[in-house]
Amino acid sequence: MKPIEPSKNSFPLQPLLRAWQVNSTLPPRFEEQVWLRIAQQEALPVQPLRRFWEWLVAGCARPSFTFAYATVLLAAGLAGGLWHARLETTRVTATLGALYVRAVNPYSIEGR
Amino acid sequence: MKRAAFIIPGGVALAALAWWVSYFVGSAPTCCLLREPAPELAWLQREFKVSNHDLVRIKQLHDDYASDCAGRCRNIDAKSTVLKGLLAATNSVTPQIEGALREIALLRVECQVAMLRHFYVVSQTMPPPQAHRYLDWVTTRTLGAGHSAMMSSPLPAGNEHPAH
Repeated sequence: MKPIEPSKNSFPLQPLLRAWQVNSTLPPRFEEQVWLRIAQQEALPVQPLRRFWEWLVAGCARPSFTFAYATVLLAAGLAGGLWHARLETTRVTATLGALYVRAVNPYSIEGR
Repeated sequence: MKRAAFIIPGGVALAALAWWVSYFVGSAPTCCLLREPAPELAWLQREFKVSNHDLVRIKQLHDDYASDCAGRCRNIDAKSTVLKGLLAATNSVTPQIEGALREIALLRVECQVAMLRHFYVVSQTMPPPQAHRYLDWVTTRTLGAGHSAMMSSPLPAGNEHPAH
C-alpha cells in the first residue's frame, strides 16, 4: 500500500490530532485483560505448516539460507531422479529378460 | 517477501529440473532398448556384454533356433490333435493313447534338448565369465535349475536326469 504523502494542500490533520484530548477512562483491569489475551493467544497450538512457511519466507532474506535451500532442493531432485531411473531400469530389465526367456522357451510361463 | 516469492518457486523448479535430468541420464541405457527391432537380443547384448560382431552371430543362431522350434511345436500340436481324437473315442487308457503320450513326451524332450543346445552355442559367443552367468541365468528360468547347481550337485543314484 502506498503511504499517504503529507501535502500542504491536504486536509489539516496534524493540528486536529494535536488538539485531540482523550477524556474517556480505561475500563477496570484493562491492563490485566490485555496480558490475559496475550497469554491465551500464545497458548493456542501453532500450525506447523504456517510456522515452516514463515520460517522459509524469513530465511529467504539471508543469502546463506537461500544457498542452502537451493542446494538441498537440487540434491533432492538429483537423488529422486536417480532413484526413479533405477526403478525404471530394473523394471525394463526384468521385462526384457522375461521377453528373451519367452522367445527361447516354448514352455515358458515367465512374463505371461 | 518479494525475494521469497522468487526464491521459493525457483527452488522447486530447480528440484524438478534436477529430477528430470538425472532420471533422463539414469534411464538412458535401458530406455532405448525397447525401441530396438529385437529388444530381447539388445537386452542380451547389454546384460552379457556381447560385442556387436558376436551379436550378429547370436541373431543368426536365434533365428535358426526359432525356426526349428516352430517346426517342433507344429509336430507337438499335430500329435496333440491325434491324442485328442483318441481320448474322445474311449474312456480308458488304450495302448494307442499311451503311445501318443509317449510320442508327445519325446517331442517335448527334443524341444528341451534343442533349447539347451542353443544355450550352449550362444554362451560360446560370450566371454567365459559372462557365458557362465548366462547359462546360470537362462537355465534357472527355463529348466528350473541353475547351471552351476546342475554341474556341482551329483545326480541322485538310479536317476539319469535331475528332477526339474
